[in-house]
Amino acid sequence: MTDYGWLSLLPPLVALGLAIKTRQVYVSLLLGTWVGWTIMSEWNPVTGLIVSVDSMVGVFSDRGRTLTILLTAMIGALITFIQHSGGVAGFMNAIAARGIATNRRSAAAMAWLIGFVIFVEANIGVFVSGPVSRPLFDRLRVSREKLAYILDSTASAKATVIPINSWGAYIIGLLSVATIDNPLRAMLLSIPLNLYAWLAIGLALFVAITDTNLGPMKTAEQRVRNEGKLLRDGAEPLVSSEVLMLPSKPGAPQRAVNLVAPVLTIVVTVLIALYLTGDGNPMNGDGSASAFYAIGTALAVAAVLYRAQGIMTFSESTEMFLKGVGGLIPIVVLLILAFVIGDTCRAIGTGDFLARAAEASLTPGVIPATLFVLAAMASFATGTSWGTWAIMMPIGLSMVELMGLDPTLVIAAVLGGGIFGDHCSPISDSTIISSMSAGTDHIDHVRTQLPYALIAGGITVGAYLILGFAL
Amino acid sequence: MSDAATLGFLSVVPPLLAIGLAIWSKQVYLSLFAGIWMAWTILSGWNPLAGLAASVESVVQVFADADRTMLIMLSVMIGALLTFSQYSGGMAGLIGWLTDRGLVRSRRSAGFLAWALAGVVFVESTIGPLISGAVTRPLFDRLKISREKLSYILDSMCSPKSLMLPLNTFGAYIVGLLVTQDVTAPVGLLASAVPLNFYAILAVVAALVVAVSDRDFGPMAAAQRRVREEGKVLRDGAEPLVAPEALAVPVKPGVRPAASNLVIPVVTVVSALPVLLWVTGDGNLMNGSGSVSAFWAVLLGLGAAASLYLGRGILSLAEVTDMFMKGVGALTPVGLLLVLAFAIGDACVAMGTGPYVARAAEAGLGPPLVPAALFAVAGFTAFSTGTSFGTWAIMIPIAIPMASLLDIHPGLAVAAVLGGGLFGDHSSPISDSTIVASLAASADHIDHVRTQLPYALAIAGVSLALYVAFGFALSGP
Repeated sequence: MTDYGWLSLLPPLVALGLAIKTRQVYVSLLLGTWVGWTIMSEWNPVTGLIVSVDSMVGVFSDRGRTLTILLTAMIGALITFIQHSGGVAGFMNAIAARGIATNRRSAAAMAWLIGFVIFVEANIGVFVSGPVSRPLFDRLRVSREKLAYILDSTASAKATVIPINSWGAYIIGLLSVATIDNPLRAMLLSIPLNLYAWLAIGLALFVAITDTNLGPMKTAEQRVRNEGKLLRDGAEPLVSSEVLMLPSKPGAPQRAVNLVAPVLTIVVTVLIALYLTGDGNPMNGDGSASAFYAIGTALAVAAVLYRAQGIMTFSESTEMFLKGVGGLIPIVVLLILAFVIGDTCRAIGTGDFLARAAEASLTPGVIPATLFVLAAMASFATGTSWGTWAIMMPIGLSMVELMGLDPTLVIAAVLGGGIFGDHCSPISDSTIISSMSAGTDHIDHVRTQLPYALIAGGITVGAYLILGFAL
Repeated sequence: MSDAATLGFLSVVPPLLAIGLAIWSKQVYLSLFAGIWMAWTILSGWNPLAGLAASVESVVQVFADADRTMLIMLSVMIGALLTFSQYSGGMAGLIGWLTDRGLVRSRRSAGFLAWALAGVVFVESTIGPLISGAVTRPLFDRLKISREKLSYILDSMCSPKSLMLPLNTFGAYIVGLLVTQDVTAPVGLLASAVPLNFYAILAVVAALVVAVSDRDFGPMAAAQRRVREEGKVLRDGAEPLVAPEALAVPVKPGVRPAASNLVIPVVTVVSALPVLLWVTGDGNLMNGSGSVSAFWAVLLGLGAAASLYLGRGILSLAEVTDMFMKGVGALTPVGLLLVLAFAIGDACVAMGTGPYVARAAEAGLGPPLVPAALFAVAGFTAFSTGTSFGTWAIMIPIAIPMASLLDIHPGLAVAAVLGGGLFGDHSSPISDSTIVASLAASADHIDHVRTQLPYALAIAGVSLALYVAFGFALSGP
């Protein structure tokens, strides 16, 4: 293999730089790949392009990746199912009707819990929790900014610590690229070490329960309490989340069971499938196949359940399935590009080069912390955790190989860094969705949230430094 | 795993189940999957759970083949070509241009335009019908001609046209099959089969006659009455194969419709294809790789469109990306159908469906009846499996030895197999070209199949009679 030296840094740098400048993730990843293969094709851009396209087609020759892509698309179908059947609306009504929250603290804790508990997808919990909690927050005089902060903190972070969703499948997909013999096990072991995700979730709960506020959030809270203004004067709340949500089918009964049953089916089936494919040991199970069966079963259960209640005919289910899958095409494309840039970085030796450079100048102990900081900066600048992981994970894993580091700690550091930007970057979709769902001004949300995110990030860096030297 | 050779009649059950279910329930996806599941359950010793696992694996395996992955990718990317050309005002520009010429004032001239546009691009089977559908669909809607009729005309111009002038992937593929049978002059043999390919010729001519005479029979006549009397271009409850959003992408506000925004990308695709076939065939068009060339042609078309719109300042990069996703998303149903069609084709191969059918028909026939029998068997196989290419792959190796052994005109035998495959390709609900026609016309897939079948059967009947007659005339000493 040719040693490309510092040239091997060009593909990820081009991808990142363009993503930051143009905010066009797809085009940037594509160009990064093209640059990589052009360099490897002796600077012939046409050959480079042909190889790039071939590598995209080649993504599907890997069974695990194909499964990941198919199942991600099917999760889109499931979400469409649940919304169209009135399951989401039913779930929201069921919570609102309980009248659990009577004070500021319990209202905030409830917002946190709803966001956390719906883990089938990162943003759907935010969509549900926002409209349910907003009237309570307004009545109890808690600022919209705080609601947005609580929602945002549970969004992507919980999707990585309870990875029974497309996030888990994606991470397994990224890990199977490398020389990890059991990607599922590696992901599961990295969960306890994903300090940023846990701290973000924990800090939000702490803030909710203790009503502790600091910095701009304190100002916002005082404004609400003293002046009764839920929003800053001149704030421009983003469009309400109802616009983004697929409405229930007109006339459909709003029953929580239509959300709860499919979600429980996933959890139960995934465990059974992991047990069966792992020959009795779930940790050795086939992660992507199990998730695929689980989503498939949940879709079938949902279709039969809705048919039995007379909500949706099978032909409507088919239509909703295709609509849901069609809606997730952007994520499917992102997946393909993520796999492709990962392959490019491996082929050109980006990780090896960085690892050698780091070996020469850094002690292995600081590597996890460094990776976390780099991933956090990249995800903050690009607003995408998935895109950041696509670039950083192959680099991190090459370092693991070359420097003999603990893979779980490195994986956790890269994942946590990606979550940091996903959580607090103003251009991240989960940040935007949180602003929408809470009905707050987007910039106010970003501003009030940042101090909390930085605290969690700072603690994480410190902890990774300690763990890096300890392990 | 059961031995494929011992399955016998069982090997025909899954495709029959899929077709029967599809026609009865009108649920194409579920029917296909049921057929696949049935097949793998039989192959897994009647264990339905193992069969399900094997079915899922077979779906995943479809993508393991780069050619198929490219076919699936290019099929859905054509959706992006559709959204591109609409949002940029290219489609509106072209339709305006065609309408300004006064080319289409009547139902007959609209029918002729659909037929001619679909036929003119002979280098690739599906692009012509797709363009024709996009251009003529609004005209058909305005002139109150049913979507079913449009899809019939387009489908007839999909594969049959490709064998009338086989300077395309069809021709290359068949030459390849003939070479494996040690035929000394494969191109000559193919050329001698073209005028004897009655089904292809009749299908193309019939579509023209139906288009310009405006006469219909059977379910098609009922569909036409529905449009004329109630103004409904689609049956109530029909599910057109493309999501409506993709069809009705409005022109971007403030953009002036210009035909070139459609014509340049399409011309790029059409002209890139032969060049790519030439390049991938190492200087011989006939040896080119069809899927690779078509895939790259669509990519180049999309690239040309994007550069054109960016260069003219019509669309931003973000809008181009957005329209790409939207178009691909809208064609997801087609992608899924292709995946399932490939998977059921594989299941048929695993079960030995084709060889079984061939063996059953081979027994006890006189040489003069062999061409007719080959046509019938190929027709039935292609209808059951939905694939002409797959049918040819099974039947050509049977037909060539039979022809030389029984002293039958080889061109006639080859033509009979090709025509039979075309019949299935044309009329089977699980054939990809039938799917493409429904998609291009935005018709309900099952309605398309139902209204088209009487025409296809009539043509097949005439072809069969011709093969019997020619069998007696051309065979024997």
